[in-house]
Amino acid sequence: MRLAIDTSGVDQALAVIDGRRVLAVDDWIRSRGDPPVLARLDALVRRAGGGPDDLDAVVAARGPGSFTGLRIGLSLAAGLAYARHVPLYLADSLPILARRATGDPAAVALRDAGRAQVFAWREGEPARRLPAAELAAWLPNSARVIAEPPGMLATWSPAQAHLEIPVAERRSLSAALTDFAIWTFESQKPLRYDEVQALYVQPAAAEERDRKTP
Amino acid sequence: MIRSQDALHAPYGGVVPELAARAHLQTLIPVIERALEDAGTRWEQVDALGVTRGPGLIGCLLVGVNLAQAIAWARKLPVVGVSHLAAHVYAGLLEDEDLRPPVLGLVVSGGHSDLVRWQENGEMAVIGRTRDDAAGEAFDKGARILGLPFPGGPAIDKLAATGDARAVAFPRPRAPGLDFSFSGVKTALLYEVRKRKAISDQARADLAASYQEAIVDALLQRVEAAQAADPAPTIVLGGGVARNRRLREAAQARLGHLAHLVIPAPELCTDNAAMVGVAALIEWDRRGPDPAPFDADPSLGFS
Ligand SMILES: [Zn+2]
Repeated sequence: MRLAIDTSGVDQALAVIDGRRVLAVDDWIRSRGDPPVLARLDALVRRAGGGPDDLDAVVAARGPGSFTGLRIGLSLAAGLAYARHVPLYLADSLPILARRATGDPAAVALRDAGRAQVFAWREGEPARRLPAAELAAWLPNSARVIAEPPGMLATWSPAQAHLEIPVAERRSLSAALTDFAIWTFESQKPLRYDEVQALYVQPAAAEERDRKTP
Repeated sequence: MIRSQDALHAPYGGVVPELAARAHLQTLIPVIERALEDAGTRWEQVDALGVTRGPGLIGCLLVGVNLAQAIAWARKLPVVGVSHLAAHVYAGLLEDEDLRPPVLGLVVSGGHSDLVRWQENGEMAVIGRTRDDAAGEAFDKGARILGLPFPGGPAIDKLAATGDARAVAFPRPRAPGLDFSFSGVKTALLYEVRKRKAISDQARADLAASYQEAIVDALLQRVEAAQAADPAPTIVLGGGVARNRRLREAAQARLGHLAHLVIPAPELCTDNAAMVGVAALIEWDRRGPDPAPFDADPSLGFS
């Protein structure tokens, strides 16, 4: 069985899959006083009818997203893969988030980055970090948007609020994660354990600064 | 196996939390691999894992706690989460394997200056703590004032060896009871440096030696006071500042006749995983392995 972990956002999910078959999933909303993710993972793997020995591969969302959540997810994934000698994959968080919308064209994913900034992703481009005020110019008026937290597009770009897909029409995160995990396992290359790193998407100004520092 | 990040943080004059956590994710597994290799051990021979649950930088703790528990879960091994601070006291066992409580412990590092009693029932009671800077912070800030590189403790230690500790009479840090306070002596050093137009190499060494003497004296004065109030058969020093040569020498002279004094080798005073291993063994005997997955606790105390 293969395990997928996404603890990079407010909504978090785990999925246990066998080939393309879903064995068990867990979706929850991040909150204080949550049980450790490993406790959920243990329960989920058992619910899927397996144990630690049955793990064949692990994929974890690498961000951009929550500092705490990413460290938990990436450390768990790396530890599991390393201890079982199985392949480890990382997946970008925003394309996963975008898959909470079904159908074509692929949705645009937006995630709160704090300090009035937004992580933004659309098909064919890397994720970027934008000031919320610049979102209106970047966001195509034909876009279908998955925003996190939901409803935030109305705050970031009020004139485009109607582009956001309502919560009731979104798929669960675990369904999106499962899709993306299957694609990752089938088409991407595993990483070495010392390559595990969260994806940091810095504001344009910071990238500029970094290039100048040797 | 210790993987130091000092070189990584040196350009910033201190530990940068975000950098530390990033480096942890990438280096932890290779470090584990090297440690097993150096010990000539395979995972099949490992019976349990010990890991620091806190206190410390949340980003780093998250990585350690989750990685260790994931490995333990995947290999069906028990895991014991321990306090990094208590581990500094338990590190005494690496020096003296017959070490048993009751013990009076002084834990001094960049983040802590604590006086504790490791009691016969196994519990740790904090009887003194710093009111402002930790002793290691006082060294780091003093080093910066003197224009010395990070980490400041070793830099001052080295320079002080060529200086006169009586050259400048810095005020002895005072705080109520058994608590510590170092901000006053740091300010005194700052004024001392500012009032001089130029500082010769010798004067800089004298300042370093005098400053170091004030900190060391303040630390030992509190240990003496605690020992006078309630004598313990054994005293243990731990934490990165316990590497300081002047502190080790003065402790020997002032505390050696009051109790059995245990100061672990310098590399076992600095943060290291061997002390976490010993701590896990002691906690295992006391309460067994952790029954369920646990979270990192950045503000954890001695237990
Ligand atoms: Zn320490």
